[in-house]
Amino acid sequence: MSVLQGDNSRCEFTGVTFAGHGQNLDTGTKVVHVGKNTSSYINTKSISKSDGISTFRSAVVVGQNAKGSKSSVSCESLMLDDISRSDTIPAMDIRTDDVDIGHEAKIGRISDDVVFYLMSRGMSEEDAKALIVSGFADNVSKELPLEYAVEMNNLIRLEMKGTVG
Amino acid sequence: MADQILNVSGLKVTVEDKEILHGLDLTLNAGETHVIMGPNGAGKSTLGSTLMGDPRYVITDGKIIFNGEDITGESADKISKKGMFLSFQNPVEVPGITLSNFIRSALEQKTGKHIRVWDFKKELEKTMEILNMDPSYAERDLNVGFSGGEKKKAEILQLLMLKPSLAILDETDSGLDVDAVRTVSEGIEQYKKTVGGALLIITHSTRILEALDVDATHVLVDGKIVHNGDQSLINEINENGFERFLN
Repeated sequence: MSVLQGDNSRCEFTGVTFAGHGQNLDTGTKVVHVGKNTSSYINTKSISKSDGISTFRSAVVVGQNAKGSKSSVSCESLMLDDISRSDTIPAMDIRTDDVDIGHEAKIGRISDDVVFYLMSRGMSEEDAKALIVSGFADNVSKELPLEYAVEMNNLIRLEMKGTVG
Repeated sequence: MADQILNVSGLKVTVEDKEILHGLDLTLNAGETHVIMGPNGAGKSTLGSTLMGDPRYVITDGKIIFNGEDITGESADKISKKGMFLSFQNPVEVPGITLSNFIRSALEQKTGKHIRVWDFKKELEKTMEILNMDPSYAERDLNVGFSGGEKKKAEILQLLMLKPSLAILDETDSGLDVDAVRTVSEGIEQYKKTVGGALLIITHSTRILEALDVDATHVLVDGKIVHNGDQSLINEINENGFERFLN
């Protein structure tokens, strides 16, 4: 949880989750805007496969004195098969006017068109799917230091191993 | 007889339980250029996708022989490695990999060899110049935010870099302005000249064909080839349309 106490303070929350078989990754964040002109930015990506469940909860509270504050929440989910699940649960408690609050949630599945396109250029089905998943998490991994970004892509590749029967 | 590169016989294809191709025959010899024309909904794009191994198109009967091997029901990545290439009508956007890295990894997949970055970059730059492509596109994510014209040029760029023995061009000229059509057909000529591969051009317009020597023209109506002819057939269809081939 972040509390934006001072005027003009700001915070950012970025997260990637990957829920595999038997996992229910219930994550979330909370931001409280107290000071004037404060801003928060929440950006998450959830991936679920093999009956994994991703749940993301967000709460944005804007107090009476937090005039001129801004908050942007964006949650994107990608489901790799039809037995997986993804939930986004946003909560907003806004107690003043003159604020700019946005919430955006997107849920999608892996596109057959893209898989076929990549395969037609010689990529195996597994590699094609791993590339699509890395691409989905791309704007988050760009925020990471290089060593971590490489590690994250390796993890995605590892998780995707054996998803193609 | 010249070497057959593609032999399709009695091909029946179903999409979502609806039969689209009803027994199609087609033969291409190595290095030849064939054109498939036909009205909307005749099954032209279905043919292209089926040849390339799209799993959504189910082959219920018939055979596809490519370079002497039976590839009926084979997966797209294997068909691609055998030397077939499909230029998509609507190339998809793939965030997370740059155009340059994508082509390099496709080449490495195909040849099974490591490709030196320096040599690759030089060839890529040269080829992009032929296609009038801004070199900055090489470092942008594959097709992401490309205009329609740049996407089609990126397809031809891949064609020239991957050097397949058979290239299927699915409506490569649709949605292009005059200059882009010229650039794309120059790219196709370049492919004929330097790679010498066979071409199967699926189209219902003829502008892209003007500069090419066409060996045969096939008219596809309602899931079947109903007429075969030579280059002159293109002009005839241009003037009179498909009416005389429809029942």
